[in-house]
Amino acid sequence: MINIILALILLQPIEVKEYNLANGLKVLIYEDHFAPVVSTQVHYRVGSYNESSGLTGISHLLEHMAFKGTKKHSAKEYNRIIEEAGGLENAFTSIHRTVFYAHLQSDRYELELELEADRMQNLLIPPDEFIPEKGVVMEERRLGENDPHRTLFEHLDLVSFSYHPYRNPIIGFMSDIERLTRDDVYNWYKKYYNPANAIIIIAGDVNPEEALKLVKKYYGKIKGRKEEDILFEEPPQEGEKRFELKKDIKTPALAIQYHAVGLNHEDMYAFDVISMILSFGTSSRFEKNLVREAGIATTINTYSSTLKHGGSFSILGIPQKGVDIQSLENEIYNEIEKLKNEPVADEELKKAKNQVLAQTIYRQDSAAGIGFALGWWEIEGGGWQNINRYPEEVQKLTKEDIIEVAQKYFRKDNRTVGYLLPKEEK
Amino acid sequence: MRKISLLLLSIAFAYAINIQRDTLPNGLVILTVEAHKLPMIEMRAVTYAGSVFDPAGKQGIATVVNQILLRGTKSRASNEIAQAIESVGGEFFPFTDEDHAGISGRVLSKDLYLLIDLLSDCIQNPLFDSVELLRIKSEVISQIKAEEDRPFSISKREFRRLVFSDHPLGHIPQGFDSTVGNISLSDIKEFYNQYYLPNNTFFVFVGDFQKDSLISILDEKFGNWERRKLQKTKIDAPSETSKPLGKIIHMDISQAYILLGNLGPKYGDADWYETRVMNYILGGAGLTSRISEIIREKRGLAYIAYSYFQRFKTGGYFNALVQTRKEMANEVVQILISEMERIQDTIDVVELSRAKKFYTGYFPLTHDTYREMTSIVLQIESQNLGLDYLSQFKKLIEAVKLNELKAAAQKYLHPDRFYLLIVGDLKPEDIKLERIEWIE
Repeated sequence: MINIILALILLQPIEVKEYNLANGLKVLIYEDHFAPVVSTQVHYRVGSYNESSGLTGISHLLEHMAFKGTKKHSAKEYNRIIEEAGGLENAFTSIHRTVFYAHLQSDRYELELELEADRMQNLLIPPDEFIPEKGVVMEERRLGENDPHRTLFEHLDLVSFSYHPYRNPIIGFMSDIERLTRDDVYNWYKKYYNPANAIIIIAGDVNPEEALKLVKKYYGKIKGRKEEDILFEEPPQEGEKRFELKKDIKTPALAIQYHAVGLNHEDMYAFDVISMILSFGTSSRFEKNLVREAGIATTINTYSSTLKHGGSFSILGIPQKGVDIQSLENEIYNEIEKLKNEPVADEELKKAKNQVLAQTIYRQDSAAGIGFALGWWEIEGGGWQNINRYPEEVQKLTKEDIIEVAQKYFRKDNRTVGYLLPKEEK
Repeated sequence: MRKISLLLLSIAFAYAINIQRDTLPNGLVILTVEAHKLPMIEMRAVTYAGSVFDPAGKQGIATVVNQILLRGTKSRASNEIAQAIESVGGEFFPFTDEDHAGISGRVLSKDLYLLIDLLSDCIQNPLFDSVELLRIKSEVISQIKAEEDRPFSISKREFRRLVFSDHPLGHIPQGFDSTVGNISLSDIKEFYNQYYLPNNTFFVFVGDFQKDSLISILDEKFGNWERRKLQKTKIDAPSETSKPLGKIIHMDISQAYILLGNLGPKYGDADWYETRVMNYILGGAGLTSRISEIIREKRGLAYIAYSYFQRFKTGGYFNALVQTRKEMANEVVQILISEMERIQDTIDVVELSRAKKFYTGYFPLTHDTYREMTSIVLQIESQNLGLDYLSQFKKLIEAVKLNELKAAAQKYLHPDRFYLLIVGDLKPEDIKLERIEWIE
């Protein structure tokens, strides 16, 4: 009880001004005047989820081509305008979003609003820039292939999801990247980049009325047309799936994935707290029991991935030198079984809640970070307001909730297990 | 109208950054920046006990000593320390680089006393338990082994070895699996006694506290930490090659990781700002640098192509770094060498002016959070940049002149006597260089 009161005192809700333009553009403004800096972000509702077979990687390739100039600005000018303003600009593609942003001093964030409006309407996607940029993306893909754990996770998603688009890698498969044409990418651009399919987030040292005026000036007249997601339902998993991946490596690794829930499912909070209990901090169960005391793993991380249309709970374990991977897998299951059969101690639950609470506050250190989180909640999590609901819901969790969720999802039939192993000697 | 002017006033007030430096009688330095936006505090406890002080044959000891500080004191077991800080949502992380070893911490401001109490116990009363030492050694060795499956990690580690060879900068802070195994409990105690002194340590606190009460807690908890004369091991300047040296680490991958470079300036060297601006133009500026423009933007040869200067207190190096498919490795090497040559003769005013605009415009973004502010204050103290550095930076950049850039390029880029490290499925014959000597 005291804990909840303390939480409520510490947790000042994140205040956001929301505006909706007639063309469907949503604008979220978050004020933070700690430093004279503004993060301006455009989040499009498109990512690897929207890509059907044969088109994987197209959202990401478009993100790259979106830096290759418009009718107004050549590719070179584009980069240099922000550079000369001392801005930090970049973009990223995720499962449900493509995000462009620039962090700039607060007296010049208008520049980014102007450039993004241009990007939304006037991309050329020039054919002569298309081939070299595809080369860059293919190198980016190869870079990922050289990271053994990343490759293991790519396979884990592929095996775990048999039908749902969450199986596709964001960067795409190599043969799809090779096949995609300039026109494919241009059509993708025309389909998804418009105000009704985007949100603009302005976070930092900003005056909301002024910012809204600028947004209206640059975006008010652009036509909007919203694209709805197609919904896919992954058939329930009915039996454990296992695979091996052999690479030129010395240290094996183990990945386990359980099908779990999406954002706004009531069980998501328990998954996040379970993830904290198992692997967050050096007093967490995996770290304390398996890494330090038993000395059988170098690291064991857990990832609670709650997304717009579903989710998963994954574990990555790396055995210490000389430890058999099978015995690491068994020890991990022993810890999972404890969660299913024994209530967590009061102290342990309280610690996890305190950690969520503290992380909620630490995150507000970065206005830009809050901006990105708002986009995530708005597009994937049923509305930005849930950013404030989240820590409150976590504080309400009970020991029984944890056991219930552990028993419901951490079942052998609901998991996929992958071993990363060294290639056999030739 | 009134509302707006009040708002402006509060902006100005919030951003009046006031870095204060206090010293306890035993020599412990405390740097503080009060900021009350959020009820949280960032902390770094830093000792000049980095990996350059690792004795030969015991490489990795600075890392191990630093980690063992959080693994048990005379009154608290290892897990009690972790439990105590994490129960309130706080964090402790040990960190070791070439010059420093320390603990970074983060807590809600209500837990400031707890943070300092734990820190004081860990730094002043470590137990040096033999079981914990074995665990840490095994963890570090396993981490080193796991990194060997990552071409990027191998390339960075081997490049350092190639450039600095047996010099203390020739190894990364983790050390080698062969040397970490050699570290004994008495080595640990000796290293700790030599370097972990109040007069060799500074703290940085940024966030929601009152400075006076912070100092009095620190005085209570660290005031009795005994000052002793510091016996610092002298580190010689690294020596440079007189001809190009190359090394290929074979790995069965589709890309080549190419690292090309030479020795560079250390902290405190006078021509740093010129060097920094010159490198920005060469390979430091995101997608608009010369290296990125040719290799990535025009040719599509790589996703990653950039260059940087890495400095330490006792030396430094320049490194141009590209990952490309193995068939293009030779071409990329030729481009890098020719760009190192070209920048010695041709830099134009437009490039200089663009770089200056970037640096001066970007500067406020380098410390717009508590966390980044903590890092920049750490650098200010360690590199002796002066407490007015944040207000001086713009002038230092503005003062850089075109001819100084060329001078910096001529002084710090050596296209005729470089080090070249490649990780990938390649042989020396694949790289067409005439004077280079390949090392096995």
